[in-house]
Amino acid sequence: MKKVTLITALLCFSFGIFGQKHITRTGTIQFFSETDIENIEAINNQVSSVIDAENGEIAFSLLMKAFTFEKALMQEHFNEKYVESEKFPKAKFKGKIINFSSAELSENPKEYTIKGSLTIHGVTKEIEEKISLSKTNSNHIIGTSTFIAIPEDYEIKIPSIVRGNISKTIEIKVKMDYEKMD
Amino acid sequence: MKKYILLGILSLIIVGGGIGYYMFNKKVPTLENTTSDYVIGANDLFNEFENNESEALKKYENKIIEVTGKVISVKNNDNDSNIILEADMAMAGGVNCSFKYKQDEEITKGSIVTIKGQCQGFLMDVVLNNSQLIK
Repeated sequence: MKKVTLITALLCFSFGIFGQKHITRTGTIQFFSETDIENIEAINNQVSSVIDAENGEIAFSLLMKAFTFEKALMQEHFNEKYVESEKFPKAKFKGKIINFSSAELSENPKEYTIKGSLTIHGVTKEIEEKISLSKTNSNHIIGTSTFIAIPEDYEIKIPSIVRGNISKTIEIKVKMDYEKMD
Repeated sequence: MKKYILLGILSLIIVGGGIGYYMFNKKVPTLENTTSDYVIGANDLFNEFENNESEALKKYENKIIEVTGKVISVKNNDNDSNIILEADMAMAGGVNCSFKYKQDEEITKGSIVTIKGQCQGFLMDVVLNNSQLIK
């Protein structure tokens, strides 16, 4: 009888671990705009994200102002003129990884489809992109994704005078290293 | 006379262009030679945001803050790094500082450090960026 209790307890315990959330607060999101005139690149390595290993639910949030640029003027224009960081300080994504199973994760990255709503500049869009997931020896989940966003979709207006300098499509690179939540 | 006016205009264009070019290429300055607007502990800073985010934002947003606390994690990337300082009320976090350079190996979990950074707001942690390690 004792054995059964022990097994049950163990099962519950392992199930509890299985259902645990994985988290990062230092995820990286970079974006690139390439034109003949100039290349613009910014990085934010303070992205918070949680992934539920049980059901594949995933959420991201970041501060627009935490994107850092090399050139001061670019950073200023980005925040003040384009994404209006004072008015819309956060960008968010909430969604689900389709057909996710944490048991399938291995050191070899596997590609999944991620679906959900992305909010930038106060505008929410449903998106569907690819995400690649793997698992390290130390039980970290690594998620990477590269996708294209169009500023216009999020009502980010780029004045005609600089339109030549800023690409119509922005490449976004995501890299997350999730640790199991204690 | 005309010659001088032309010369004047030309030099104005050159100087103006030069200033424009300089402004265009100006890097985001480091906080090395700036004075801090606030000096505070990681716990107190976190609690202010946790208790009233909008008030805390008004007070701290864009301000340069010197914050002291216990290192809960250090993450070195290729060219940059993050240090997270602990706050009692935060779940395994507190103050999230990003740096545009890598950290020495002597900074480890448990070290007590003082960091100067520019406050950008609040997610799960208070976010400081462009940070500099003071001690």
